[in-house]
Amino acid sequence: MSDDSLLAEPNPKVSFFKGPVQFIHTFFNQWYLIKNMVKKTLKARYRRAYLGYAWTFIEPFLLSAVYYVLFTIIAGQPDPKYSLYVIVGVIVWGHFGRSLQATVNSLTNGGNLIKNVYFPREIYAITPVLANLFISLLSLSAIVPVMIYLDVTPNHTIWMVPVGLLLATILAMGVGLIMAPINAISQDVSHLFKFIVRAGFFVSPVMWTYEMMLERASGGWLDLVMLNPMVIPITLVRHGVEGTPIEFETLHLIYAVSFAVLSLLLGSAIFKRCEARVVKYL
Amino acid sequence: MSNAVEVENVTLHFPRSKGMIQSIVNIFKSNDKGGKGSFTALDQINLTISRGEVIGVIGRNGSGKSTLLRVIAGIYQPDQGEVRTLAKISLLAGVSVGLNGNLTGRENVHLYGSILGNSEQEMDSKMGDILDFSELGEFIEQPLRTYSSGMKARLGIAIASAIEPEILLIDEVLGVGDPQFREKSKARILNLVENSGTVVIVSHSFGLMKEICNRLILVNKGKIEMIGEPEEVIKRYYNLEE
Repeated sequence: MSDDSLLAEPNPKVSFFKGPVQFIHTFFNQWYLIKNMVKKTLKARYRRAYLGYAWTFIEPFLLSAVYYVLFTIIAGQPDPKYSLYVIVGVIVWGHFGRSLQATVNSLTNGGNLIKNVYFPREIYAITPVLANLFISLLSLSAIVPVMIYLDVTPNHTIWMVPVGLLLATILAMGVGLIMAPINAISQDVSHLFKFIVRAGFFVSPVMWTYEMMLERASGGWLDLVMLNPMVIPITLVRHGVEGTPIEFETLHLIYAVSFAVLSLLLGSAIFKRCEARVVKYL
Repeated sequence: MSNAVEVENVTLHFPRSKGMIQSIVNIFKSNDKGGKGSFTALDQINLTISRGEVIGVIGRNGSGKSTLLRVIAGIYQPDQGEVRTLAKISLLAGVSVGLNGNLTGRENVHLYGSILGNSEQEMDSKMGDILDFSELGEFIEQPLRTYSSGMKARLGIAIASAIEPEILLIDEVLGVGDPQFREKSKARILNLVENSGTVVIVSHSFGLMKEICNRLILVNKGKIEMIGEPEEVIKRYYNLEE
């Protein structure tokens, strides 16, 4: 065997179907690099703040206090748990929105690094999402005092919290990965998604709940609302926190889960297929 | 002698003013033909570098030297043709590329080290050597944003030169810091050049190139103008038409 057989392309073209496999491979083989990049992202977030990570607790905690005053005391919402629903919705939607935008911008934010060092580019997308996941988990733990105050105790349905969060993460990353290469060519995509995240806040169950919607909508209208793949993840987390069971129509459940999973498969395939060619547009 | 790098018929176009739709179509096509609205940075480059060779790349600004290095490193994928290299390949381009102001010096050693493709064990074992060379003392536990630019450069060089790639690509990283450190870092990079199997170096310091390179490549307007003995290639460089 000649030595030349050791030569390989430094950044080979990845066939469309191998993209998702590459992602998993990178995730497990580049853990040291991913860990350091996550650390960098987290440190950048709270630079020059004395309280640092404490802000991930303080912010949702203060926000819940504001919601309680606003909705329960001032607006007289009869359900005392409404402020808890809202804060959970805000955290999950915030997690989704930040992860989505971070993934859409993953190539464009690579900046100097991406043009001067080569390592698998999916790391630029994996890193900010992991950092977000870490922050969102901390934020969720900040609502424990609120739960104690409102006498809410989770039970065996707590498994719905990580599942809902994971579903939101997969969805955000999937859609973001599909868009990241196009965003590298034209940053209009980034502006569009900024708008989508803002508008999506209102059509997702953040200020309202799945049950509220069920009282008003049924049949075709219900299907229309459920077209939004974020309804189920947010509702899952909410019920997991509250410790109450929830049932969705099977078709809606299949739709939301397969929407998330398929977009991640498609997204990682498109991203791997295109990343090497779009770097020259940066 | 076996090869370390093979560049075969490589062409790379940079987009200048294509429409969005055309650009999106292009990234899905398997070969971009360039044409109107794009700029050909590399034009049918053929190049073979043997193991153990030290090769210099010279040329005017904008001639495609750095782009050639980046195609070899895998940063840009060629639009046509193919690049094949040994697996462990590192590009050093600027000393502060992988550093981050919010992390401490020690955290930066891990970050930049991992960016350059090292494992955690490798970086742990090199930590002592990096601390010695960078002369940072207790500053190593401080955030990098508190460093002077000289200190940053020292840390960057210290980390970058601690790697052990099979192929080392250097893009103008010599000549940072004060004169004493410049001498020291030059010695360290020369040492790295000696220890690395194969080196491709882009630089404007012809004196150094003559000293260390086996062959020089003259790149002009995206094409290889000449490959050969350093003396002759440098002579040709000065005779290039405007």
